[in-house]
Amino acid sequence: MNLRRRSSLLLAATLVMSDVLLLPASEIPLDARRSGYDFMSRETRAMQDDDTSNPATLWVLDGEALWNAKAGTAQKSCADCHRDLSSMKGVAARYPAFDDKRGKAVDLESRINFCRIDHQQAPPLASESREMLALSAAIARQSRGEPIAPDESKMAATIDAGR
Amino acid sequence: MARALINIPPKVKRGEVIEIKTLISHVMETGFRPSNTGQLIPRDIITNFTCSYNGEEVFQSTLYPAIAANPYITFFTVATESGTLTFQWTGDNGYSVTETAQITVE
Amino acid sequence: MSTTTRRRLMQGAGALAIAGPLAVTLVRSARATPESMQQAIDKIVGSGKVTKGKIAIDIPPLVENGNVVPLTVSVDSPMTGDNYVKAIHVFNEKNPQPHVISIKLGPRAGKAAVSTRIRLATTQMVVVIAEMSDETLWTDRAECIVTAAACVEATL
Repeated sequence: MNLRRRSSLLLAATLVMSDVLLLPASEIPLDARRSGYDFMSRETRAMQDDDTSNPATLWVLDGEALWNAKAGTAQKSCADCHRDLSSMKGVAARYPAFDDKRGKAVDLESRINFCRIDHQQAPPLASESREMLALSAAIARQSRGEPIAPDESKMAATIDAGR
Repeated sequence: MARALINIPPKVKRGEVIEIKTLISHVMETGFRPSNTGQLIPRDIITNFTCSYNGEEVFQSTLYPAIAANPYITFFTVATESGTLTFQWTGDNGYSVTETAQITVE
Repeated sequence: MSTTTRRRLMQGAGALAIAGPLAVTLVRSARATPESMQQAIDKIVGSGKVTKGKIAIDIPPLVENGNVVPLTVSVDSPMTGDNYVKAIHVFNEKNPQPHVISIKLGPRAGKAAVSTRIRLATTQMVVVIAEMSDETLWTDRAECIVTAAACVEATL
């Protein structure tokens, strides 16, 4: 069979297979997904498990301080609206989430910045800046051990675009 | 901003040998890494870490570029009496951080 | 082109071909060698006799990332007023420089054991020298296999 016919047969076969699996060939099925933790060496796991030796704890502590710090022209802290940081339990685990007001999917860092702009009248924090990493680490810490489970119902278009 | 994490057992008995764990935020730039332009990024490390117990030095260490970023150092000391543990980190470019922690000895 | 010119060109090219890689090697920062590590150790021990023993080195036999290698060194000693570990020195064989950490202790330590995290540029030996209060010197070494190098790679 000539090359073109073989290519189109291959393409057809891939498409059929994709439909059967409901996923592109590269995606891991939901029940086969594992946390990166499962692949870590014993020593790396020990470092991650022990809060006293995990450098990320320094960022979490900074984040706790930032949570309580007044910011922006509104001079409000995160705590002023959200009360205790522990109220953030489960929040990071459901991100990326669909933001109704802005009509699109957003990640946790963007959500933090929307709060800053809308409610604190403060400038957004730069991506990967120390403050942003600290605040998002402190918030994410509240979801420790929880499975990552964003509500995909409103985000079908976004997810397909990612594929 | 939290720079250091110090871990001391909460209640100790007189004469007990306790482990103190310390972690400090510091890039520990070795001086051997090339930047995007190919130039070596200058060395910027903590060179010295000490711990004093009610004013008496009980631990001293000299650090080199081979110590990983965010230096984590643990050591032991005899819990002699209640008081203050003083930790000091010094290094390149005038770096100097001092933290204290209280120790309660029964 | 005449035969002479071509020959000259080829000779020139040959010289360049040899000089090329050599020039590149010289620009890169020098690595420590077991010899330079020995020199660093000699500076500490002087002419003293060093005996293998008393030291336990806890280091993973293999690490994926040489940037964060956990290391625990303990020295067998009662740590009393007249019998204690004065100093612990840790060296490496193949990082850009041979020192890792030097620690001063006294009887107030209670136990001669230290944990930290180190960088290893490649698979190599880590050597420990312990100085005792009675002026004796002890040593031991352990190997660590490193898959991703620290120190000399451009990205952290």
